[in-house]
Amino acid sequence: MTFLQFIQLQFKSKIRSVSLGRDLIAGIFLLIVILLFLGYVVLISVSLPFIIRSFFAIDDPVGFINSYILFFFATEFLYRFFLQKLPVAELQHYLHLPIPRWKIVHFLLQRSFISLLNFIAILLLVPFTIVEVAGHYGALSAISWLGTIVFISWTVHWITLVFKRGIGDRVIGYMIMLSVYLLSFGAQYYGWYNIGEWVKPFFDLAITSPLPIGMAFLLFTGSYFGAFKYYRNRAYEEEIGDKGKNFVESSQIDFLSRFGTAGAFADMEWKLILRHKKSRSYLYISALFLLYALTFYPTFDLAESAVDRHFSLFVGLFITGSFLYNYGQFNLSWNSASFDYFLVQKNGIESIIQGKAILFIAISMICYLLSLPYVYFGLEILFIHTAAFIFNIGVGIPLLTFISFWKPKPMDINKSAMFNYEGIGAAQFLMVIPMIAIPYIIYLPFALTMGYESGLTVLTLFGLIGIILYRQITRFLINRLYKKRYGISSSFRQEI
Amino acid sequence: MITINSLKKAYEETTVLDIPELTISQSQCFGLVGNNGAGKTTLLRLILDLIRATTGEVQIEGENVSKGESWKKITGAYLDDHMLLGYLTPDEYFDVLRKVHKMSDADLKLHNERFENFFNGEILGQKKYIRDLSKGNKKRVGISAAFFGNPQLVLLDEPFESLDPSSQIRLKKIVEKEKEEKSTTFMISSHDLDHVTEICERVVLLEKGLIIQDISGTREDKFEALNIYFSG
Repeated sequence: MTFLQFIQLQFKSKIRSVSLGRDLIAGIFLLIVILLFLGYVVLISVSLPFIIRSFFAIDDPVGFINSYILFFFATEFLYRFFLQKLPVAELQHYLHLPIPRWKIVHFLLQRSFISLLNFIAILLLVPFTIVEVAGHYGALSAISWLGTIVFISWTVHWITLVFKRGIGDRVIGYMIMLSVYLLSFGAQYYGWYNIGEWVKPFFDLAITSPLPIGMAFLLFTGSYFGAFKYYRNRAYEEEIGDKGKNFVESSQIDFLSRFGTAGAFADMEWKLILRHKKSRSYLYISALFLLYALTFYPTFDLAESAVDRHFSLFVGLFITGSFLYNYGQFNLSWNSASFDYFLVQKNGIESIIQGKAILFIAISMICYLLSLPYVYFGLEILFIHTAAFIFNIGVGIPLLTFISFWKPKPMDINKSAMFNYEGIGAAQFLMVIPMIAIPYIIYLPFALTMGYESGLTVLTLFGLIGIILYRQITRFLINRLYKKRYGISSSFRQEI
Repeated sequence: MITINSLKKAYEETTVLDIPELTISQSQCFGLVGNNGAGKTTLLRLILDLIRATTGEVQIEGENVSKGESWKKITGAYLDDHMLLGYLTPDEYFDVLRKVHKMSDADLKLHNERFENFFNGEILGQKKYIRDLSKGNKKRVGISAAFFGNPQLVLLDEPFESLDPSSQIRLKKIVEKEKEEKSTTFMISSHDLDHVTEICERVVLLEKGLIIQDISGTREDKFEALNIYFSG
C-alpha cells in the first residue's frame, strides 16, 4: 500500500462519514465556518504590514514581528492542542494486514500533517514577507525568514501531537495550557520579563544568515521522528481509546436517590456525563462559560445604563443556563446508544424526561450560585441572575426538551467534542434563538416602559408559573415523546 | 508453525492468560474452546501482536511476532469488525486488500470464485457500505478477507457465530479444502463444540487463562471430553 492509496481511503472515510454524509446542513455550516475563518486570516495577512506601520506606528516591522513571534507559536500551540489529533483508532483496521507497523504510523503522522492549521503561518505571513522582508532585504532573506517561522510552526504540530497524547483528556492538560499562555502574556504585558525579546535575535539572524532556517528544519525533522518513535512504540490495540478505561470511580450522588426512578435516571445520566469524553468536554465548557460574564460586567455601568442592564439579561441567561444550553442541546442524543432500552423499560420515557429535568435543575442551581460573586459588579446582577435562573428552570428546561424532540441525531459520545458535528442537526442551530428570544420578548415590553425591575418581575412570574405547572408540562412532554418514539428510535438506529 | 514460550498477559494485578508452552504444527486445525473470559481472544490477539505480551513470546515460523513483521505475509486473520473498513463497499474493500497483498485482478477474481458459494450472492456487487451490512454479512466479508494472499496460517475468532446454518457448513468445507490443498494451518476459537470438534484435529480447552485440556483423537472422543467439562 502506498501513501496515496492511504490518503484516498482517508478521504473516502471523511466524505462517507455518518455524521457529515447524512446531514447536509452541518456540512454546509462547517464549510461556511472554514471559509469565514480563512477569509479572516487572509484579511489580517494582507493588512498586516499596513497595521504595523500605521496603526502601531512601528518603524521596524520585521523587528516588531520578531519580538512577538513567540506568542504566535504559543497561540498556535493552544489552538492546535484543542483542534489537532492523531486518528490512532485507524490503526486497528490495518495492524493485521501485511503492512509494516512503522509504515502505518508514518502514514497516520503524515496524514495528520495535511491540515489547514499547517497553512496558517504561511497564509498569515506571505504578504508581509513580500512587502517588508523581500522589499528591504531581498528575496533570499525573505525565504530564509519565512522558512524559519514555518518550520517552527510545523515543529509545534508534531510536539502538540505527542503532548496531547501524553496528557490526554485530563483537566490538568487544559490547566497547564492556559496557565503557560496567560503567564507569558501577562509577563509581557506587565513588563516583568519579556521572553519575546529573548528569542528575537534568532529571527533577526534569519534575515542575514541561513543558520536559523537550517536549525528550524532540523527541529522540524527531529520532532517528526520523535513523534514517530513515540507513536511507533504505542501502536498497539490496547493503547487505542481512553486511557483510564479500566478505572471506574463510583460517584453516587446521594441526594438524587430521593427522587425515585427519575432520580436513579438522573444519577445514571451524571455517570454518563463523567465517563464519556464528549459529555465531559461539554461539562468543562459549561464551567468555562461561567467566566463569560467577565468579558462584559467589568465594562458595564449597571446603575446608570439601561442598555447595559438589558444586555445583562442575556449574560444572566447564558450563565445560569450554561449547562442547559451546552449539554441540553443534544438532550436525547446523549442516550442514542441506549434509547431502545428506555423504550422497553416500564416508565422509561417518564424517567428520561424527569431525570434529565432533575439534573438540569441541580446543575443550573450550581451555576446560579457560582454566578453570585458577580454581584461585586453591581447589585442589579443579583436580580437579573435570579430572574434568569427562575425563568430557565420554569420555562427554559421544558422549552429546550420540547425542541430537542425535533429530529434528534445519533452520536458517539466516546469521541472528542472538538470539531465533532455528530448529533448536530437543524434543531441545534435554531435552538438557541427561542431560548434567548423568548425571554427577551417577555422582558423588553415591560422593561422599556416601566423599568427593568418590572421586566424581570414578569420574567420571574413566567418562570414561577412554569414551576407550578411542572407536572402538567412534564406530562405533555412525556406524551409528546411517546408519539415520536418510533421515529426517534429508528433515527438512533440509523435506519433513516 | 506457531511456537509459544512462557507467554503471559496481565492487566495490573490480574493475569488473563498464562501459557508456559504450546506448539502448533503445520496444516493442523487447532481449535480453542472455553467459557467467556477464558482468554481465547487474548491469545489470538497476542499471536497477531495486536497487544503486548507481559512476558514471553510468540513465534510464527521461528520469528518473534513482536520483533519482526515478515510473518504478516503468511498470516491471515479475522477477529472482529474493527479489522474492516466500514466506509467501503465489500468490492472496494477487497480491492484495497488486493493492492495490499499485491495481487492482480485475476487473482482477486479467483479468490472471489472460491468464496462464491459462501457469499451466496449477498456480498459482491452490493451498493452498501460494510458498516451497514448485517452481522452475518460483515462476518462473511471478514472471513474471506482473512484468506487473501493465500496465507499459510489463518486465525479466526468465533467464525460460526452469527452465520446462518448454510454458511456455517460452507465455511467448514472451505477450511477443509484449504487444509487439504494448501496444507494451511488454522486456529479457530469457537463456542460451537459440534463444528470445532468436526474440523479441528486438536482442541485446547482454556479456563481462566490456563490450558486445562489438550485433546486429540476421534471426533467422538473430543466431543465427549468437552461435553463432560462444559456440563460440569
